[in-house]
Amino acid sequence: MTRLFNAISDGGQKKPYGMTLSLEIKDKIPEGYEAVKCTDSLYLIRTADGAKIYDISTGKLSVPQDYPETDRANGFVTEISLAPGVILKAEFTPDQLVLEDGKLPVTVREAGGNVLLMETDEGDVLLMDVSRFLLYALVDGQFVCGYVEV
Amino acid sequence: MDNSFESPKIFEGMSQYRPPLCFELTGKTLELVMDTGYDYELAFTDRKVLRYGEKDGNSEEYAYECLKVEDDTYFVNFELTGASPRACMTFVLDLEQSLVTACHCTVGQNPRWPKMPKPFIFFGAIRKADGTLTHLRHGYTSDMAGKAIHWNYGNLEVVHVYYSERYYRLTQTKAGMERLKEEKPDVYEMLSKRNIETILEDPCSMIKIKDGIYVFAVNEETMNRQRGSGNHLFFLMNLNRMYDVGRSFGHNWEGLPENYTYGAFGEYYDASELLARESTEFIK
Repeated sequence: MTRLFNAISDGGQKKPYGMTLSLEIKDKIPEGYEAVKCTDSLYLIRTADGAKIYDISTGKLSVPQDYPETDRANGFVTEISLAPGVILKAEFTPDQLVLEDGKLPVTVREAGGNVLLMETDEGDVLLMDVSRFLLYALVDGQFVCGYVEV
Repeated sequence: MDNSFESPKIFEGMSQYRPPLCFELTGKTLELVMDTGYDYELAFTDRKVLRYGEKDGNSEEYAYECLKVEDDTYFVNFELTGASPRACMTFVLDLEQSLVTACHCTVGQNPRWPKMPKPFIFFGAIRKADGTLTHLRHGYTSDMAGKAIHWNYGNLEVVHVYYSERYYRLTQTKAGMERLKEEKPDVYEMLSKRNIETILEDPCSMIKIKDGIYVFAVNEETMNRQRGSGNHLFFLMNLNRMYDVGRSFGHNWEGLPENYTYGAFGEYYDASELLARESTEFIK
């Protein structure tokens, strides 16, 4: 269990929120890849090699590292929830996401004007739609979703 | 975070916080064989427009929104633009079982409460590719009776208390009320009077689509009677993963026509205190 999954699921006790797979881009991604629609144009993709991002507006399949790093989230303090009954205080500091008392090294990237992409040192990927206050993630190999407190 | 992350420019109500729309049905045409005795054709022309009408009869194009709640289970909603009285169609399209639950809702017919919607829920089957129809139907259920779920719609948190197969009650969490007291004292003042002397309770429909997937639909009749405005709410819930999608049809707080989709995340809530109380609104 990755540290992020441990945090969001209260040590694995709570089943995270889920989201159905999207079939909209099944003809555009290799067989065996699975997609969850995160925004009107971005899809989070699960592959045997880890997370990828498909952007329907460009037709490009990317790895998180293809997106530019940003410090725009620094200082952002909020609450997030990715499982029923588990609401975590979250603070973005340079190179870290502080969840309650735990600190996770994260790289924050910008994937379009209102979308932040975060990857942890254990390979978990979180995509935050800042305009809709929604979270989509591939954590410990599982698709999960959730929300940011408005 | 700096303020360069901009919110959508268009006012969307609670729909600002729902998942992105689903375009998987684009290009598909479904024949809906309804138990009302009428057959309809629903053709998804593109991502925004569908064509709907009686099979072999007149059809019209309408702007629609689709949300996906489970594999092969879709929520589709559109205003029947130009209809008089105002009307809305909402479908649960269950392509796994080739079944459909539909809601035709109108507003503007009630002489005493002109903003009282009038929903009509009906059922049917989707003709399969081989031309056959299933005899099964989505059905009314008591599965949810006695349960309550705290839903977070982004800028709104509510607890839906599924009192029985036919009635629901509305409340807030204790923690949510404490937050309102600090952040929105005027809203707190209004809501703190709820469920004290009388219980906010309305008739509802609870329909089982498949395991863990339910429709919950309620007409805000009490609110209409009390303040002259209340909407018809139609929710499609995925309780396997604790989220829902839905739509509100009626009027907004300014009295303007409203018909928009939304989504929420939920967690079960202990509403035993409210569940134990006698109804103040209905003889049971």
